[in-house]
Amino acid sequence: MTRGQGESLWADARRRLLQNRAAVLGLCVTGALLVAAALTPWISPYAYDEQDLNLGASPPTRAHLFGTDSLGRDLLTRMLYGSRISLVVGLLATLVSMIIGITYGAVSGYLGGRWDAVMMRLVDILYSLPFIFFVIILMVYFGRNIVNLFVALGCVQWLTTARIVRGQVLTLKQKEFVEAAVAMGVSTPGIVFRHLVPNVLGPIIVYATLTVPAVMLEEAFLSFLGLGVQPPNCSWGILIAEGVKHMELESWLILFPGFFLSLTLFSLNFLGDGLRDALDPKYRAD
Amino acid sequence: MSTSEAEAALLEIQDLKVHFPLLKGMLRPKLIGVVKALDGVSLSVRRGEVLGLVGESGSGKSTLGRAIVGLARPSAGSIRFNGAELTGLSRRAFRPFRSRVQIIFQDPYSSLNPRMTVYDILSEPLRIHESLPRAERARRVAGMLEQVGLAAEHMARFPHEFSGGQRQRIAIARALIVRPDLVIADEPVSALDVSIQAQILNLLTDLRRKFGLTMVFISHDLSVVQHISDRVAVLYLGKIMELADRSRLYARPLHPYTRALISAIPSMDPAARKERIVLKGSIPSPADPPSGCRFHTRCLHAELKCAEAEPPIEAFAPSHCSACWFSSRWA
Repeated sequence: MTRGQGESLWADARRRLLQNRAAVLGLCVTGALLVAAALTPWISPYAYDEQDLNLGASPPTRAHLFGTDSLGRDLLTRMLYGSRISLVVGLLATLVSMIIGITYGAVSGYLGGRWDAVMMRLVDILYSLPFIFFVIILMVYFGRNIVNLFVALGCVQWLTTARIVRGQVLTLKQKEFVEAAVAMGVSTPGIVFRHLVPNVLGPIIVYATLTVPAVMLEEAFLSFLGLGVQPPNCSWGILIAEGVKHMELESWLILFPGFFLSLTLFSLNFLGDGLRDALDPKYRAD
Repeated sequence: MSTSEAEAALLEIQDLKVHFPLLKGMLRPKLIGVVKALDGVSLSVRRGEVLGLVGESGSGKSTLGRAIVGLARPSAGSIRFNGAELTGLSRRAFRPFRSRVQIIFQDPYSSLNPRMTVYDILSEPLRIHESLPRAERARRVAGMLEQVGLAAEHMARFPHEFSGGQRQRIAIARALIVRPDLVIADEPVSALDVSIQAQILNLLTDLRRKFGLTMVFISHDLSVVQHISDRVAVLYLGKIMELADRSRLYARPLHPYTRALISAIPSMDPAARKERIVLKGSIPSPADPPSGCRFHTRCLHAELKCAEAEPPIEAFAPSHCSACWFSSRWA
């Protein structure tokens, strides 16, 4: 079916997002990083585990644009490979957390009453556990592989999503269109997923873009502790952890990974802010 | 009521009560009171008629409409639709009746899902209640849009692209698209501009004739109800005060509350202006209704008896009932 000349909510949001320079910049940088990560095997100048022990740690040169580490491995190559893991962890863990959080929060908010009370107390209890402790237990019991890392991070991140969605659903379910759906005979899953969830997508998309950098930081932190990605694989978190060790003499080892991690986080935050403004009906230009 | 009348009744409500418990505390809630939104209402709606329900806010008129469509759970009493009992049904058992009874809400800004196109909104009831091929469904949606004065090309648009009156037309289309037997119109024009109100009322009148609708029309506005209803019931604090044919009710109201309400309708004709009866105070809390006649705290004619005993609802003329000890004064 073709859309009428009227603009949909999404088209309108897209137009306003594109008017926001910071958000467009964030979008472009994020896009460029994703493309680079996707094309890594073809564009990286060296193999990620190729060592040149004769060279050792070298500052940036023409052959090694970002320098090399103490084993003579090319930093640019390792950062490209690291970005694959960091970005995938960030995106997948966020996706996991969104799916759990949206479903849990929407069901809790819509059912209300005793169900809601019990489901939300569970969230409160999980909230009160120190998250790193929780992730460490998960990693120790289920093995330190990358899939478990996604799951562990996603399982921790969904709590806030669930709270946000529940809060939104509590106000939405008072609206007459939900009552109209009930009176029409729409099933409970139909109401939750067709009527309620699409109406909370705005805040959720925004929160998701803010979760991606948060998860990347957590992955960096876990890898830093030795609980995340295992060598010879690497992620930005590992590179930074190694860089810290050699910070005084070989500063490029921390500067480059640190800079690109910060750049990614800034871009995603700008993008998230822009999306929030674009999707907020209060800013609608009509 | 004669048997022929009883047979013609599409909807019969007997002594319906809807009480909302006031609870305090989360895990082990304590009962701290009961709001009696409806406290024993009996009425019937005949096939093909429009029954007007009027009352102030807090009178329980919306609760009555919501109970009929299954949005409020009755505490006691019975609702019979086409002879079948609706109270106490499970969600699943209620489902076949969902398409027979539809509701139109007051606020067209919150009654349409902002993320769904008009086509999605109108086709949803069809998807649930009738299994039609896609093309047929689209044809039905287009046809219904034309019936309510919109065009088929509006299908792809979102609710926010329409004005309040147009949105209410969409809400009406959604209610009528499954060809229900009974439509509850819960203040369908109260949220609209006066100029738009007349359009929507005329539309409802037209559609009623075309589809042979039976309707319960809820409003706080007596002049709106007068325009569209065949019979009118006046509610006060969860009870029916007076129930009569429209012409009788407006010409010769038998209950002091109805008399006060009717005297407050503005009139364009200075000669027809009557002295306005001004009610004291506002409607008491339905959590703590007054003793005896629940209107006695605001009634101009109240006597000692009124605070002590509740007047029964009695017929003073054919199809004219009133719940007041002194109704015969005006009969």
